[in-house]
Amino acid sequence: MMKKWGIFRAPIGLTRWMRRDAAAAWLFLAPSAAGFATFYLIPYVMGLMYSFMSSTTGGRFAGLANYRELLASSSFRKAAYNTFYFSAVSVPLMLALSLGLALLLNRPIYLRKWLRTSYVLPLVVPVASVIIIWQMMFDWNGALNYVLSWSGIKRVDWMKTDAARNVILAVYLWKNVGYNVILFLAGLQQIPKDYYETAQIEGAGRFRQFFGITLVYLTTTTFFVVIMSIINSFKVFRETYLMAGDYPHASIYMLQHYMNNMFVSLDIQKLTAAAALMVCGIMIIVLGLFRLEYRYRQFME
Amino acid sequence: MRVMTTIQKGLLTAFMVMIGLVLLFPIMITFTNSLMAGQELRINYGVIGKLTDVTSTGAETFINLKWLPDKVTLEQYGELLVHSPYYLLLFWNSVGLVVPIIIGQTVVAALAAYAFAKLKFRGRDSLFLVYLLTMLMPFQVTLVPNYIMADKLGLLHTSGAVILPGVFAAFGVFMLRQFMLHIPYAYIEAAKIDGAGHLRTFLTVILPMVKPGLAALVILLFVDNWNMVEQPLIFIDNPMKQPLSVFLSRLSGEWDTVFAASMLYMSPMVLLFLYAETYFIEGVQLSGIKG
Amino acid sequence: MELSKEQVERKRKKWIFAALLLLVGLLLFFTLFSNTLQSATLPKVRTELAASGGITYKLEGSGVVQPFNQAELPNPAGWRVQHVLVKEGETVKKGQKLVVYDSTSARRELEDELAQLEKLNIALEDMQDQFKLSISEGDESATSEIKREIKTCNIDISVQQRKIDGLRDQLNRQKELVAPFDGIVMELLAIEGLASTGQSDIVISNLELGYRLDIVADRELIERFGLAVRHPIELLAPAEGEQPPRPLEGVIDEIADTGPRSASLPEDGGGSPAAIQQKLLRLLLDDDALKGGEQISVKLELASPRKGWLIPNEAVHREGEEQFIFKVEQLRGALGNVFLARKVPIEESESTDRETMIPEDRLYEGEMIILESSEPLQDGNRIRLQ
Repeated sequence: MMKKWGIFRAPIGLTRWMRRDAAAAWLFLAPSAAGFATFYLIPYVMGLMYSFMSSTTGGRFAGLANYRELLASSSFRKAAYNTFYFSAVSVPLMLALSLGLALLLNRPIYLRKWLRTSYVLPLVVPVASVIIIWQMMFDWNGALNYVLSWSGIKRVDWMKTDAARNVILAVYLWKNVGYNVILFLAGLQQIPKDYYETAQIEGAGRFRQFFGITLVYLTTTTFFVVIMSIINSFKVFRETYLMAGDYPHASIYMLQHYMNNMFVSLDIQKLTAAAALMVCGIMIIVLGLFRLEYRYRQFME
Repeated sequence: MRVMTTIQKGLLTAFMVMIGLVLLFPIMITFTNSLMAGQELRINYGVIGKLTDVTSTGAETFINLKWLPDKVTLEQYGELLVHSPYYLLLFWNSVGLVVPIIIGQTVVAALAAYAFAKLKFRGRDSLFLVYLLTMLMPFQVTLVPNYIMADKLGLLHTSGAVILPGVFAAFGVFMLRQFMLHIPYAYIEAAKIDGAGHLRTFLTVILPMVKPGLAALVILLFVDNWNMVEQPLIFIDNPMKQPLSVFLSRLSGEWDTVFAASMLYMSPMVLLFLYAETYFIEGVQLSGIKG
Repeated sequence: MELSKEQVERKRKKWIFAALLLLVGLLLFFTLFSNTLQSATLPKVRTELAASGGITYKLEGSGVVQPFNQAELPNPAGWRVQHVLVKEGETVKKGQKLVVYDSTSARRELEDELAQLEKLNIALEDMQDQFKLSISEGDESATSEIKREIKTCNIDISVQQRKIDGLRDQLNRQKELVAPFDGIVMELLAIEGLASTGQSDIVISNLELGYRLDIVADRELIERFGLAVRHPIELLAPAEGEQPPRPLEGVIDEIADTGPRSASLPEDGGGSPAAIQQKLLRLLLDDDALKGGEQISVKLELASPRKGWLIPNEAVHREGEEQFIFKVEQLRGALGNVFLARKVPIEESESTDRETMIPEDRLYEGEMIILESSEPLQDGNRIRLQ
């Protein structure tokens, strides 16, 4: 990087200024870095350390014992599976849905601005405010079962069967679709219009235009959307927690529930081990995605 | 792109409006139901949470989802604001948590973002990657260390245990950096030639240019922290000090207030969003342009 | 066009901003004034913790002891009083002289009658002499005439004799007043030297029959205490000088009806005060130390056999036949506790003039009773505790 700057042959004054850059940078960074270290970095390192200890206070190095114990726990395996499963189902669905809506919204239709507003609005509505609505919808006597009864479908106890997954999925989509739609809209608006015109002249069909131009140019956005969707799929814990409490139905028992409950029952070893595993998992996925995007972009160029 | 006929446009619009209505449904129903009397709500929604199929008369029990109140009344609001002192207390608790986080994080993050975006130093990119990764982690993974840290700093069971981690969260740094990356170096050089130091450059050149970014950050932080559930749940054990977000879910079944309580809780957020919608969307979009 | 669009946008923002400010303002306003508003809209009540226990009935009363039987002794002949031999309050024996009357005129009359008798006797002797004479003369007709005259005279003499006897007897009886029984001189009306003016000269009580005491009490109480004729009752004589109050015993002699008294109820709105039936208890006292005129009090206590909640009478409301109280009901809401006034009907209750006891199943331990409210209450009204 510094070499790149050297090429510019900056004036003498500027170089000197640049030399002071690092010092200034650390001054600017100091408040953030200090707080960040205190409340994030050190806790991560501590957490990782604890996961190898037999106890948080005065414990001995226990190697992988905590991890072995953790992996033996069926509730952890269940929670990890649920979390992974939920992300694996919800993220592609979210991608398809938000991309579709963004494409439609990118058309010259009426009320575009209002529609965009209404799609984003769920994002700013506090989770706690609409919990009562979800309960009204998905209760045994709720509105959804009522609608189903019109077509003679038997009632489903949405929150207490495997159907709870679908409920959480619906809530997740409801809340986050607007966010991804505007991300995609931004991506779509960056695609130069004349690309499509050229393609049309060359006789490319709609299909080819979509795959050849739209998707290619949306790659960066898509990666970002995927990452954000994964993160947001973890955040759906809030809704789950507020709707179903500490111990929801087994099908929506997430890693966050597991960790929360381990915290409450003071099983710190399992908790830190689970946290470390989760951090590793997320890091692998995210870094993998970055890598993939990097490769993809190189490949495209 | 093909040109659409008016009919096509109309049909597409209608379809999109329908989706919009589905998305807005919970908000609208909360609003209309907040104007109903508790008695009416009890009659319509009383069966919630009961595992019964049929009533004694043989009719199937379902809630009677109602759009419009039989009688428009502000009863729920009156009940909430006049007779439920806890509600307002908790509301201001929420404000008391969110406002310091927003102010603190905006200030801290603007400084750090300047360093990350416009200054060169060794290890900048790796440090930024660390920031970025923590941003992606769920809160629970640092539950124990955070708890121990808060305990050591004497913050446990005070709002500080929630506010301080909020102030130093990486999100603001990430977003403002995105905004600052778009400021050409030429501006900084011009300021430099005028003899301005880093601090003056930051204050007089950078800050005015990222105003939309700051606005967007404020809104996004507001949205995120107004929604905060996990942190206060763990760190604040006194229910009287917790924010409304944790508490509101306990109101289900309290038909005299629940919809008005939800409405009042979401309305500052919704109004703020409508007021600064452009900034909000710009902020979201900009944060997505460069991963 | 572009400009106007921007203007519309700006206007919209202005409105939203105003709404936001209004919202925050309203919330602030209610935060600061919700207490005041609440007190302005809710009735304020004064409450008391319901006490568990039994009720104690009290029958209290007092009266002046009166002799059970007393006689008013009149001046028998209306003569002038010569001597009064007793003082008021004096204990007298049966047959004791009380008053001596001036009997001069009666004695004079007696002497006159005696003189008359003498005259008749002389006249008789005269006739007998004539009779003897006529027999010797042999005048038959004259003899039988004299014989008849003698008979007549004899009759006159016996009449006169009886008259004298009567007069003498009268004189003996009426010259003095004698106590008809052992007793106490209650009233002395006779004045020496004057003829009596009233009906009686002396009122004398009968010591043998004892004293009586009249006490008025509520019929309900009398029934509750199970008081009946011949029932003994503990009484209390007042302290006398150095002597402490002294218990004594009486026996119920008679229970008679008497006029009702009107109940003094706590202001209750509607309904005239209920009339309370009363009875007169006549007690018979047999105690040597009593002289009559003492203030004797009765104090009976009876703990009711049942236990319940004791509630001050002011908390009990009446509406027609219905009796009820209001208790405080606390609703635990997520947003703070709410207090309601809850009507508790009382089907049966026992009450004294201060407290009412209601059955135990009406209230739970620790529940508050509303004594007083700033506004009339209805069942389910929200209230503010003082």
